[in-house]
Amino acid sequence: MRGSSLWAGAFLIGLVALTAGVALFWTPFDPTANGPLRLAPPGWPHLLGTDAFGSDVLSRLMAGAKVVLLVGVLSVVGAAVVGVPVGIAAAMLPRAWGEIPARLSDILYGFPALLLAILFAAALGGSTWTAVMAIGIATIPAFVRIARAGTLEVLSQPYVEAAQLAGLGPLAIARRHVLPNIAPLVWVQASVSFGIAILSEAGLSYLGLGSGPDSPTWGRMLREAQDHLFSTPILALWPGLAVAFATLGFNLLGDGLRDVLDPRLRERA
Amino acid sequence: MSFLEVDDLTVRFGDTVAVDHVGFAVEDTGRLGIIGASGSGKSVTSLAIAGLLSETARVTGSIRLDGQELVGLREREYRELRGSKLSMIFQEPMTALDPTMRVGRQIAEVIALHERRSGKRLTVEAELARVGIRDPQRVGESFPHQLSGGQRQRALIAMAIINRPGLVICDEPTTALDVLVQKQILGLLDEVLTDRAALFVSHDLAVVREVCRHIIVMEHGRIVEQGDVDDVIATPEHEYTARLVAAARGTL
Repeated sequence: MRGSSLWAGAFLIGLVALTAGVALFWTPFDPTANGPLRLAPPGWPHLLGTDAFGSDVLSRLMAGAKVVLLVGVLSVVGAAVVGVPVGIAAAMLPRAWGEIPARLSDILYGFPALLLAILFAAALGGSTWTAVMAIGIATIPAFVRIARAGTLEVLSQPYVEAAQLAGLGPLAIARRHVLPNIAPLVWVQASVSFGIAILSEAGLSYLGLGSGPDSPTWGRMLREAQDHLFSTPILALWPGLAVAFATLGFNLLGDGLRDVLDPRLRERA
Repeated sequence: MSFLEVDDLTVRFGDTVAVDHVGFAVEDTGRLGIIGASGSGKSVTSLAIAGLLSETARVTGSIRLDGQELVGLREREYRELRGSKLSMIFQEPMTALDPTMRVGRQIAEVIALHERRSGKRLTVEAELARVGIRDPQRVGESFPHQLSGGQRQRALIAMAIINRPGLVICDEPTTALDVLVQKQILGLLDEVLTDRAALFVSHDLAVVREVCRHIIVMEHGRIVEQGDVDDVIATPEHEYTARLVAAARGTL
């Protein structure tokens, strides 16, 4: 079993990344072109059929992978890069100071990603970047919380006292002892957040606050398929499967990475 | 003047008095055992000296190390001191080593700090060999969970004495070890602590007698008895000490 979740996750994410890479240069049909053949069942030449506008579903799915990777990876990585140091600082600063970032992040936590995105869209106009920023900012508190809780746990460990006693400063302790020890938590949070980011992107696209109509996303495809759920249910199946597999892939990857990164788990099993 | 002088030390957590007007002194190369049950204040006393109490603790009185007052010292000043004059050996060698870091790297970390201050060059292997580790290279490349309890405690002792501190606080240094390893580690401590001052905190009278001549007995944050360890064992004056001696009778 060891390492299998890592490889399964890497395989699924690799597939999404490969699809996105191919879609940069080639898709079977123009993913945004409307054709005469509407709601066609899977067959030839439309392997996965066509949607209500006559666009090729496979092409749209491939093009959607680009947006998913862009929005998911950028927003989650951005949120982690901001949230983790803030969380560590919140735990390590003297109580009165540490409360400030912790409470600010709680306030941010109160705003759903969608509401933040509407604020951003009003200011910047709906685009893929608006979605990245909105989802990224809305994801920060999750990382602040997990990093703060993890750091408080690590700080109560004797090895931190031992490091302090050896004369190590707080920055060195954060970098060398806290970060490696909370890394497994952060990885798991990142994989969970990635799934949420894909779903949020879907919601934002539906509201017209994410990527524009010319860039197909899995979320937009899902919402469009909703109108034809009773006549052509298979339309919802493809983007649904894509979201499920990408999310699963990141969760498996997160689990696998945690096992590999944690020396205590490395040689068990 | 003694190397460590504790005077009228009181530590409060809110309304709870954990250490109540405690005073003692340790000479340059002296050793003092602090005996007491859980909650007697012995650990809080040692943490107060090391400056590791939480923010909620209120410390009053005086702790002088090599003439320098430690009560009210800033964190930054404490850090300098810990690197050079003061170190500590902990009870649980598994949790006192970072589980995600190879033992050699943790020791190298402390060596790097030491070199910055003293300019002397030390190697991880030599420091591990100093504490009686036979294959220092393999131990240095291991993670803590790959080592035995005795090896872990030796590694921690190596870390504690890299800076050649004037005072080493040993907080239950052998409690987590089995009896045979306990003997070896006590022997090692006896050896590496010969030219420095040491505090031995333990609930175990038998262990403290192995390394200390002079002891104080604490109960409810107060010193209830002090003196030569054999005298205390032979004629305990305080009722609590008598119980302690009776309980330890089998192992003495």
